[in-house]
Amino acid sequence: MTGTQLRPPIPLVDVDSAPWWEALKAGTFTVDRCQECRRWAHPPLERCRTCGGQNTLEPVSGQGRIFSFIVVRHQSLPGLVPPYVVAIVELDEQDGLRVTGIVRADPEAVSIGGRVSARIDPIGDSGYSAPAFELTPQSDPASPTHALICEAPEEGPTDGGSPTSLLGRPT
Amino acid sequence: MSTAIVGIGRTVYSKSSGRTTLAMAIDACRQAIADAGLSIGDVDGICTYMAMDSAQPIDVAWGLGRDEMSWANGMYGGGNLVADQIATASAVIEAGLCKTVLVYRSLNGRSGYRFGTVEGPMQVEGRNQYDVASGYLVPPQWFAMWARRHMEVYGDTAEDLGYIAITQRAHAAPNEHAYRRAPMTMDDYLAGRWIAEPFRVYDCTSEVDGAVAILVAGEDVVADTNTSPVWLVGSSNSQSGSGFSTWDDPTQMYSRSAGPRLWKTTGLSPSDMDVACMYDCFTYTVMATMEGFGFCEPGQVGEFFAKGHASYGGDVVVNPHGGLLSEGYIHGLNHHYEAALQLRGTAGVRQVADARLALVTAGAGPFGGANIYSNEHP
Repeated sequence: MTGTQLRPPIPLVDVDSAPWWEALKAGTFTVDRCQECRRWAHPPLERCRTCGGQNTLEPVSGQGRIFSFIVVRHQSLPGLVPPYVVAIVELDEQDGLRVTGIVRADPEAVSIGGRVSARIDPIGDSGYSAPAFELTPQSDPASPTHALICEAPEEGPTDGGSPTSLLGRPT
Repeated sequence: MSTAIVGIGRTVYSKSSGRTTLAMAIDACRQAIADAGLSIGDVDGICTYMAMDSAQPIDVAWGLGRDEMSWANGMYGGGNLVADQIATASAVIEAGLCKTVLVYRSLNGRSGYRFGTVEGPMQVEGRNQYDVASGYLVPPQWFAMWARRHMEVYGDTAEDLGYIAITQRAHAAPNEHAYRRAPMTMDDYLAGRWIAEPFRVYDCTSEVDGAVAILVAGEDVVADTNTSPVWLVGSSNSQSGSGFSTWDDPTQMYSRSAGPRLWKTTGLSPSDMDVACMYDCFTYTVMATMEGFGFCEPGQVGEFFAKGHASYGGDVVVNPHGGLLSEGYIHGLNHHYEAALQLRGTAGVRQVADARLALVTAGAGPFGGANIYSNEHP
């Protein structure tokens, strides 16, 4: 190991990813959606891999189910202290639409198929934010009813990148 | 034109080589050439696969004393490219671009650049950038996630993964080149520290420093060599850019496509294989690919290993050298080295009796491939 001060990793933002990160900074969890065939896809791409149409980020509900999960017990990154749960979550918007994130829950309470809700957490003091998940109380309705719009954690909405409409309803 | 492995070379596998990847690559390549009874003047092609962690092919060729190469190619990628590298070398020879090709892999996988650890400060690019917040950036976590899914669907237990680790460790015991040789019981396996549940430390490969080189030649050159040729009789790949989260069904790997295609194109079947060097970055990789290549029905791999079907006297000897789990992680090229030893009949105390056909797989998850080798001319 080097003597370098270890800090949590941050994204090397590119043209495809910049709007996604900017939306999160503004408190909105978005996913790319084709403006032609309306398919959702993550991670973002300039064009839809199904039909070649233009993709645009649209807010999502943040509601979904755990597809699989791990309990990290060996620290491999600074800023993340084990144990913690990382899951692949299938969002309600579309079958097979998956995102990954930390599940802020007791590992013993996490199971495949369990329902989760997204929240937006800052990544250390980097200025970036990212989706994380919480277990949805079982009494909650199974379907999402609203898009996830949170208060920006630190900064206000940035120019150009923040969605203004709520289009996250599942189709 | 048929092609064969005619020379093999390797360095010691250690936790700290004290050498450059260039020096180790040259060493292994020089041994492979000598093993074949050829000289550097007989070699006109060279290639490797790497992740910016190794020596460039032209630099290795220069170090070997060859001023110019007819063909030199470095591919960006990991274990998924190993089988393909040798098949590509074969295709390049068949296309007439050169007569012999060195395929090497050299890495300071433990003392230098190491998979599974990330040192900051770092910026993560491309697809992985979306996982910076969760730190879901390292292979043990990706494959543990897949394994969990398989365990959920098929009911595999920790012991099912453990039998794979234990069997391979037992195979490594008499292998003087193996990095980990100490006997391991199920209790030892289960007592291993957690990495990312459901993976314990013994589910993960043994990262080492070292290099392996394989010399491939066309049959016009084979007659001039002094070893028994190990013929390439089939190769198949399935390479996907899905990533580790979007792949539709993590209970299956690339082998679900590459496996059936390999058997179809060669007319062979799993039961024909005497040796199977299964790429084993993690125990679960062996589980999923044993299924994909048709050795077992889904969910039966644990029992297959537990009952000895994957060892001497069983159906097929899986990783007689100990695999990446116990011999060491030379990114899968050591599997091809072992297959050559076995098919030459020169594997010593771990020789698989009458070994004639070997499957060698490469890669894991959404991408990989496999070769079949024979000691009989195709």
